[in-house]
Amino acid sequence: MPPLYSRWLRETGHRSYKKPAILFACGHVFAKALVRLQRLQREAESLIRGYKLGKPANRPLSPHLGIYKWGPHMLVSILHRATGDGLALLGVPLLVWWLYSISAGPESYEFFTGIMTTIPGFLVMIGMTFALFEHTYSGLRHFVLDAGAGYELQTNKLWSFAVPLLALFSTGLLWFFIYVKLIG
Amino acid sequence: MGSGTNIGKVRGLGSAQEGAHHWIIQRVTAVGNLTLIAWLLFSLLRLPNYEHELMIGWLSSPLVAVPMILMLVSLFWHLRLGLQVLIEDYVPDHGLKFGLIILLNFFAIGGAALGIFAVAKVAFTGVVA
Repeated sequence: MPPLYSRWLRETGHRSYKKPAILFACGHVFAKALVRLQRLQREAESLIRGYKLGKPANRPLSPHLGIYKWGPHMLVSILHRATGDGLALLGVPLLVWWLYSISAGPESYEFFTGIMTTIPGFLVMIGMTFALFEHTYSGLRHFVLDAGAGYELQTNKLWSFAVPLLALFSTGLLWFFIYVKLIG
Repeated sequence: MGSGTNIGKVRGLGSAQEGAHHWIIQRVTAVGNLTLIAWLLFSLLRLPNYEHELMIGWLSSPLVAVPMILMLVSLFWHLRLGLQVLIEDYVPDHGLKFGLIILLNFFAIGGAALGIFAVAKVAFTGVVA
């Protein structure tokens, strides 16, 4: 080999100069392919194992529904749905009945007020006002969460505690006001 | 259910492009409910008594009848959306789900119509006294 031949190869970028690089690249691709094949084989085995067990795939499941601790955010979330559905199925029909009874005449109105001022009637009305305040305050909390705020653990905990307490307080205040106004 | 992966089952069965609309209208009616329920509570608490004659006079005022009708629309719209989610979450059977959502629509539209008619009747037939 003439002494300048290697320099000529380097400067012109002749293919034979790149031979070691090509070999290295081929080896790399081959090794990668081998690793990928092995992984595919493992996944296939796991799928087959899962299929035999009647499961679709052996994948990690999240969240773990069996492992959790009760927190106020869960309570307020469940109360939001429960109070909303209570208002929808009982509160609003009562509201319509009230409006209907006003429009249908004095006897109809007295029939309505007569039923609603019995002890079960008062219990339903007090329950519905609590549901209204709970759902309203919880809904306001949802507006804040919708804006992307209030997810910090302490903030979330604080407002989850505050919502039902504020609802209880408001219900008490409202019925105290009604009691003072009508009886006291 | 086949043995495919979960993502494989979902592909090709994408969203109906309706989720955001439902979500936004639920929030819009929530703001309406908040305002109008607050109005109703304060308006009712300011009344001296709840005799039938006074209720007729109160309800026949345009400044009571109109917000009352708006409140009924907002409330029934909001509760229709909320109960729809309840049914979709807890009723797995497709036929029953379909039937319940039809019932829900009848309940929401029928209830709102009854309430609005009652308010309109009082408002248009006017003061008894």
